[in-house]
Amino acid sequence: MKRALLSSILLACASAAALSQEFNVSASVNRTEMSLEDQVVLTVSVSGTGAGLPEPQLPPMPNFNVHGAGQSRNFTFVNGVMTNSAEYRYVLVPRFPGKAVIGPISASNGNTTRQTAPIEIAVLRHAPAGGAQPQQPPSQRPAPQAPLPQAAPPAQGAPQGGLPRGPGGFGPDLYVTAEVDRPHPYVNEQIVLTVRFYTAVPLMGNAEWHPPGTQGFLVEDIPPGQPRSIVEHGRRYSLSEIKLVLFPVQPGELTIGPSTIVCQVQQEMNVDPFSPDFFQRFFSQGLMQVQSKELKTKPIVLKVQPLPEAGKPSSFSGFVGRLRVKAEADKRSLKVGDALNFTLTVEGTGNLKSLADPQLPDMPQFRLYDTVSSVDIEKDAAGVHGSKVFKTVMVPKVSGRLNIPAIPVSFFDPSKRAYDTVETRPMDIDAAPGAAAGPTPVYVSASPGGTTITPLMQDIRHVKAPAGPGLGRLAAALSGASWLHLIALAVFVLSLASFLHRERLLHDPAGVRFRGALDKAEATLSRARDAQSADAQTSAGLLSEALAQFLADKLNCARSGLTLKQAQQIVKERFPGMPEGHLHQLKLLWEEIDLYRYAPSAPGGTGDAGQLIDGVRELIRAIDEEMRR
Amino acid sequence: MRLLFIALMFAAQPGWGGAREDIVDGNKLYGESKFAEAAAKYKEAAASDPFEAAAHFDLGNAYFRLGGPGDLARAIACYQRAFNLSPRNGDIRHNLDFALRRAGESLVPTGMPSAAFVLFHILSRTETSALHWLGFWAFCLIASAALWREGWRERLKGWLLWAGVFWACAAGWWGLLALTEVQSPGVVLASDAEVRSGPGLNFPVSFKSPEGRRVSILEEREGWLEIGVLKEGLKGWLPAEQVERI
Repeated sequence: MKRALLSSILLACASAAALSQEFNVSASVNRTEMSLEDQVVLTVSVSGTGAGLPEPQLPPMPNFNVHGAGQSRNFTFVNGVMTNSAEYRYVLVPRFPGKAVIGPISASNGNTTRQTAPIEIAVLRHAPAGGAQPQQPPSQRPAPQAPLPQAAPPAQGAPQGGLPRGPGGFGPDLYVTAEVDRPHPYVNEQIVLTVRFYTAVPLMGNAEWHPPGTQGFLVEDIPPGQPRSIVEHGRRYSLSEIKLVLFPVQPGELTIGPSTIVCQVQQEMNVDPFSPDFFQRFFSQGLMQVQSKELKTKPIVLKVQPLPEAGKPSSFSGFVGRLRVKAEADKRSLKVGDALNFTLTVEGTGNLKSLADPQLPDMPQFRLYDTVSSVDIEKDAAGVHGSKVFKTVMVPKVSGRLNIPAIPVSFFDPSKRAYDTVETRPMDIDAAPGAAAGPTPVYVSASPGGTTITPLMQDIRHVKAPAGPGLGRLAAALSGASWLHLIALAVFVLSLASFLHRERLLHDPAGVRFRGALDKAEATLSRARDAQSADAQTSAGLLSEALAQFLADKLNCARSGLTLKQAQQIVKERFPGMPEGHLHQLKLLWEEIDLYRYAPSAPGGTGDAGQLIDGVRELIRAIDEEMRR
Repeated sequence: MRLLFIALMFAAQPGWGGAREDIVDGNKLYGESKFAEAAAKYKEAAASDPFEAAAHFDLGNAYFRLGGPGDLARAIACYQRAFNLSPRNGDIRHNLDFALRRAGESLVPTGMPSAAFVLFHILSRTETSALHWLGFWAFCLIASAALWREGWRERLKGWLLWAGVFWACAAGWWGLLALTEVQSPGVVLASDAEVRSGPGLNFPVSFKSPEGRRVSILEEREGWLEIGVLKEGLKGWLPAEQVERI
């Protein structure tokens, strides 16, 4: 899922990048004059910056049979800028003599469309006088026909309707056959389909070939070889071979449809000398006539075998064929933070386009960047072969001798009917301590020079020296000093309490007197008890003071001049529910205190002073309780 | 007052001298590309002085350079700690943002202007907390003085108002920072960590989290942590060893 998502993102990025990137397309041929027996190699090159390049679109070419002859791609990284080029090769076989034009070849990335100029080719009926065959590069040169394998009888598709006999019991004038080299291939194994066209009569131009239906296969066409002469069924034929490389994509029975050859044949006209219009026909048409013929092969059914599950290596990614692998690095010693190019080259036979990126082993000492691959495919009579190159930029993260371990690449070898694994040689890289650029620079495209500064990469900022004491740590100390917060809060609460208390005193003096009367009287009584033994007179005065002050505070009136009668009257008025017993007790105690105070020697005046104090305490508590109700 | 300040400064700097030496040693090792050894020094510095932002920042750099499994997440955790201590430092902001982008996040939330983010985080949460407490002290002391002395009340009225406004603003800022920051934050250490719908392997995988994603730790149970991924609004359980608390 992650890989699919990554691929989608990369594809989207590549598409987006392609929209904004420049590219060029060009086309060339190896000859502009040729005979009907010759072939011309058309090379289309697309180059540009960035990862995505559009594929060229060939125009209709009715004068040629067009065969793909391979392609190659190449990527280069210079100063963070990727340059990409692709070369597509086609072999064109002329069908008719005369002037043939290869129309403009276009390529479009959806935003920009580029076109090549048309190319004119003169096709002669016979080879131009003194015209030597142009030397073709090996990859473009049609390879000699490979002998058919003898191990297994090839599956054949004879001409439909059987092989018609020719004049005199010899072979027919022309016929076509089709066969494959492997009737029981494995999934993704390379199969070569060979269509042979035999003709014993002259043709008007080259034949037109319609490829077969190949549902369930990936197809690569191979440039045709030169026609050759052969004797079959007692007749001399000109034999043309057309080959297709097929890769079955699924197991089971798969069918290769019929191949079709259409050609124009010159035939002698049967002229009846006794016919009434003999002379008219003889002079108007001559003795030859042109006839169009269509030849078809029979469908070929293949039984495709699935790949065995037993012995499948973990690094197997589906490639069937044969592979060799080698690895190299452009530097063996460098500094930490510097980049090296690691190149893994895989060569072999099979469907190299489908070869997935190799799984690089875990190399924690390196930072690995995206792998880019280029492929170079060649096609010949034996099939498809070539190489795929994977380039990875690696940056050492640490110093020392670093090891790049062996990289395995697995494949299924159909000739051995078994899986095989090839691997690169491990290599050591010496990384010296260097700039601490490491794992994460992001390279950005550099713009042309000028007065502006263009960043070449983005990276983390360098380590810092210790900052020392700062406001941050003071702030942390302030925040964490709970005791200081509590002190400030306590000061505030105390101040507030004090303030409220003072406010209450100011605004309700009667209430304050009323609520504090008992405490005040009790304090005076305590003093009276203390003075009782030393100074009876003072004690008596304090006792009188306690009772009178209590009543004055409770009744909110002046202490001086308060008489028993006044006190009783006010109590009755303000507290009508006051029990009579309390008032009576008040009267008795008041009088007893007066007696104790002013006539201590009088009868009853020297009574127990302590008992008197207790009596006053009990009374004022009882009165206080009653008044608070 | 001077004594109070000195007492606070001493309280604020536990083991600062040792941390300073460790950071200097670590920077030397870092310069020699010995990132693992440098990380060990920075760790000691951060342990002896947790308030030293440079220790966390440098430790983040060392992890970032190491680039092994979980190191990006550890780097993010360290940068986040450094950012929490010193949000005004541009280098810390840059590295945290750089590392977060590797994990599919960014420091500045989507849609928020960068300048507004910098302004909002011009003070750390600790600093706004300290300002709030300073405002509280000022308010309490001025109010106490005004309550004690009736004669000062008129004179202190203006001061009391300013102290109240300052306290309220600082408290509001502190509260906003506390609300907008990830509560009980952590970072996912594992790459493609499988977040399950319950605390055990018997529960199905709800979603996968990339390495370095910042999460909120909601609950801990039997070696599993319930995490909340704020960006996507998802919740699930991860083994505790796959999460580093910030």
